[in-house]
Amino acid sequence: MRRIVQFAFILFLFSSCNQEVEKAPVKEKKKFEMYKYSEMAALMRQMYSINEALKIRIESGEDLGTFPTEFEQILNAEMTKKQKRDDFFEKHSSLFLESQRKIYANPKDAKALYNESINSCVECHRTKCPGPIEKIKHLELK
Amino acid sequence: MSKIQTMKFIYLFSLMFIALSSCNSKPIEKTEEVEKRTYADFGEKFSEKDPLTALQMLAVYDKLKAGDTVNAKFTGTIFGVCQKKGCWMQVDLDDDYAAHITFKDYDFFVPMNAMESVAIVKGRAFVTETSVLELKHIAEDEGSTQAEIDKISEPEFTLGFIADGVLIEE
Repeated sequence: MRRIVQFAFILFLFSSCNQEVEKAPVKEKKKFEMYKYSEMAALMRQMYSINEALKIRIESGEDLGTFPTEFEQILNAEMTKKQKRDDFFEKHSSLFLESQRKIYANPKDAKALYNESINSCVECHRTKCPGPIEKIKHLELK
Repeated sequence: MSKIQTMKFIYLFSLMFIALSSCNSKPIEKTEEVEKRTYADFGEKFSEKDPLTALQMLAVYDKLKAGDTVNAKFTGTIFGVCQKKGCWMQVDLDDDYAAHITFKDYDFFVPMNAMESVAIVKGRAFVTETSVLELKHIAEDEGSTQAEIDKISEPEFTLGFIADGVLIEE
């Protein structure tokens, strides 16, 4: 009988100590707010890729093809939140389109015209959005 | 108390001691799990182990001249993030200095609400001069007033950092 009482007592000790190990509160993870590409940001990346391919064609002397008309969306694509389509941007986006058309219209001078066009990107970004300047500089033809 | 009673008492006391001490260790393990930090990664993945502290990183910057670069991994608290895209962030080094972090090749961004989170960054540290135009752009992104933006007239020497990858505490 005593042994049963001892056993029951020990069992009680173990079970009561299990109740003390409550589930620790799980720290809630932060909900991060990531940027979603605007029409303009997506267009900028598309223009980067097209110029990257154009650089290779100029370097290897391949046919340049025709001016990519989708670049004209720069005139009306929706800007990133808080970014302004001001006079400076309007002027420089038109100059950029013109500089790109010149490359395709004058394949013999493509290298110089291409670098001029890339420089115009850098100059505009220096004022409007300096973040991608280093990336854009990778496009320059040496 | 007879010898037998004394032995029984010691036996019971020992059992109670074992039972109580074995259950004491469990809650401690739980606490350690809760305190372990977890990180979300952005850009290149890397180990969170052994970063320099913010103060150690400041000492590294102190030895750099404009134009020098050095590979580094350090941890600190984010106190500013680009509110347009999350394309740059600033990490405190001490009360007076912060590192301006951008992301390699503009290929990834960080969350725009990551302020006050602990971050670990890995990449290249350098010291550079920031032009007035760029300073105005940063001030605009931070939501400064036009009067505050107009006041900016001198370039600044910045503790720059191009991160290959960033870990931010979740």
